[in-house]
Amino acid sequence: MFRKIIFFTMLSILAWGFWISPNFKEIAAGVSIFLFGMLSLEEGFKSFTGGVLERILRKTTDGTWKSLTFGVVSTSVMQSSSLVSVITISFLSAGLIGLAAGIGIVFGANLGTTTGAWLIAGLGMKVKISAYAMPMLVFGIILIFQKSRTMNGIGYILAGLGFLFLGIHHMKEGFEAFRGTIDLTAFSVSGYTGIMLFTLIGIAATVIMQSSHATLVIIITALAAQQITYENALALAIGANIGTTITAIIGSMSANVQGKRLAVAHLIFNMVTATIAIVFIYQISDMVDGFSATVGIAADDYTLKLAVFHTIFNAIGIVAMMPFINQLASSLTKAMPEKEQPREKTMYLNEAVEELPDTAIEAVRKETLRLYDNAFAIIAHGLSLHRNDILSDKGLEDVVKQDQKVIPIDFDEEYEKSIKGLYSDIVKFISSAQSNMTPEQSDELFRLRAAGRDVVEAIKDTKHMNKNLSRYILSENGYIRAEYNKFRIQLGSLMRELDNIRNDNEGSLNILSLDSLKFDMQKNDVTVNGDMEKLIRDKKITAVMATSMMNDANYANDVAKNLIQMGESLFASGNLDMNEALRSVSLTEEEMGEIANDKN
Amino acid sequence: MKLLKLLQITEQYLDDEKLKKSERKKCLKDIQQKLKKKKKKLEGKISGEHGEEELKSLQKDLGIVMAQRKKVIVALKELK
Repeated sequence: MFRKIIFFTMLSILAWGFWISPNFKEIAAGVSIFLFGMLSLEEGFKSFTGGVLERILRKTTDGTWKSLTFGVVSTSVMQSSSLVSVITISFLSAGLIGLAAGIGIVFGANLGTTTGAWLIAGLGMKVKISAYAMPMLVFGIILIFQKSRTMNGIGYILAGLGFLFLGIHHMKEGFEAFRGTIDLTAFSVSGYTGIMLFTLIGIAATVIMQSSHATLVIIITALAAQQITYENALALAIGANIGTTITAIIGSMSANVQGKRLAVAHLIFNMVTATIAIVFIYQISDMVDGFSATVGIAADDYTLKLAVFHTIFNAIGIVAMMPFINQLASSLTKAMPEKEQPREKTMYLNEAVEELPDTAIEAVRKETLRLYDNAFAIIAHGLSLHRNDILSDKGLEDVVKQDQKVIPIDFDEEYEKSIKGLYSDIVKFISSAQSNMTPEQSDELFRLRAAGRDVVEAIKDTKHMNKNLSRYILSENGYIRAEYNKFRIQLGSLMRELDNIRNDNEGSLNILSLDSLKFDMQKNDVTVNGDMEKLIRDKKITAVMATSMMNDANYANDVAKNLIQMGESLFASGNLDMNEALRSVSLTEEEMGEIANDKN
Repeated sequence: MKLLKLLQITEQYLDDEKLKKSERKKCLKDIQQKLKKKKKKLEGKISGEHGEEELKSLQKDLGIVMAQRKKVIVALKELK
């Protein structure tokens, strides 16, 4: 209710402002057009996520300086530290990058965002940029209507830039017209009182507009129109820097603890930087004068000097904080510990990873792997094998010989406890995550959903097998006992091999390595049928035993098939093009048959 | 000549289909190289292996890798 009252009060104040001052209307419209341009620009760059950006991010985050550089460059290019923050939180939440790397990116983004002030002060105030805005808008909108995703993205970027330029133009015009009627410098406050007051105003303006860029453009245009003093403009820029962390904090609310740690790191960085800037504002101002004189910026060119100030104080923040980045990461990890998630609850699926298709896919993959881990224990016990024995180096023949005990298991209870809830959460997440995805990305999500179904099917097939298996591995008849032990060994070996393939990070040919397992599965099926016929013919097993064995051989084959199918989706790399290519090279049943015939 | 190449690269980048094809080609070439390495590794293992069961298993893996390599070559030809 309180929020609604504030909202409508603000709308009324704006309407009243427009009524009494056409110049204020023009400035406000300029800010709105500018913000709309920012949204369009972000939309454009989002079209390129799901490829280049993620690939660069994965490759450039193995060192703190590399992360910092990525933050600087990506924010300078995209002109949106918010987008970079959102992408970073999303990657962190999906476990694709570490906290120290994330902090490095956010520090870099803070420096990168200062290029915006340079562009506005250097280009926006010196050139008639509205002349460039019109053709950009026209070309941009034409490209937005193109089918190609790349063209579409370029269209949004062009239109975004056009709107940004148009917004700056209107703000400039508005402030210049203002000059004739009101002198806002009459409200300026000097000294530390003014610095504190205008810092607070800068924070408030950025929190309301959710964009430090928008605040900066207002500051620069007002400064160019001599509506605020240089000293107050510096304080406003410091305030904008603090205010921008609010976007990151709001973004992190839906993220897991990793995202929250990053938001706190961002806040600490901006607070430390702002404190340094406020305490040493006059010294930094002298540094700006010295630097400006060296590079040839005129002493009265306050807009460019503001840009220099913005860059210098953020650079000082980085120099002050970079040596402590690892300590900061470990302190935050200690102060905000990760809650141990019960195995039946999701760990990676949250709103933050849903922001980007790549991170959503990766989170679903990791969560389905957790589902498989839960299923692993159930299937192992269903075969009367211990999980640790399967994952050890022990020969499974010896394990089966030594351990003839049946492990009691209630499949329904285990399924309810560790599979059902997790599986339904994954399915639910997939349904909501696919809205902004390309067909290829949606296909990958469907494949992962099918992998979850394969896991569930494998449990069900093991459950069917378990009844006879529990009876016959204790049977007096050595022949039937040996046959059922073969099922245990074959499936146990398959699960061990799957685990080896899953953990093999060397070749990234995981999907193709599964072909060898498929080949073995086909061979085992043929062998079991041959063995069974011989046992019936030789009257070593009864007809009842034979029917049970026949059914269970099918179940064992289905368990193997489901687990291999699951592996084809879950053990794939993060690169969708590569996965698609690997799947196209993977062998079909007929091709396997041909190899088997060649061998015979 | 350089301008023509630049135009071709730009066209390839802007055309989703062409971009996809070139990505697929890159991936297949990468797979081809990795399979070649895997083949050599398996051949080395086979020459040093004396156990009958192990040898059979390695030969099976080699047969699979060779079949996969053939498929890569066919796929690359189709892309050309």
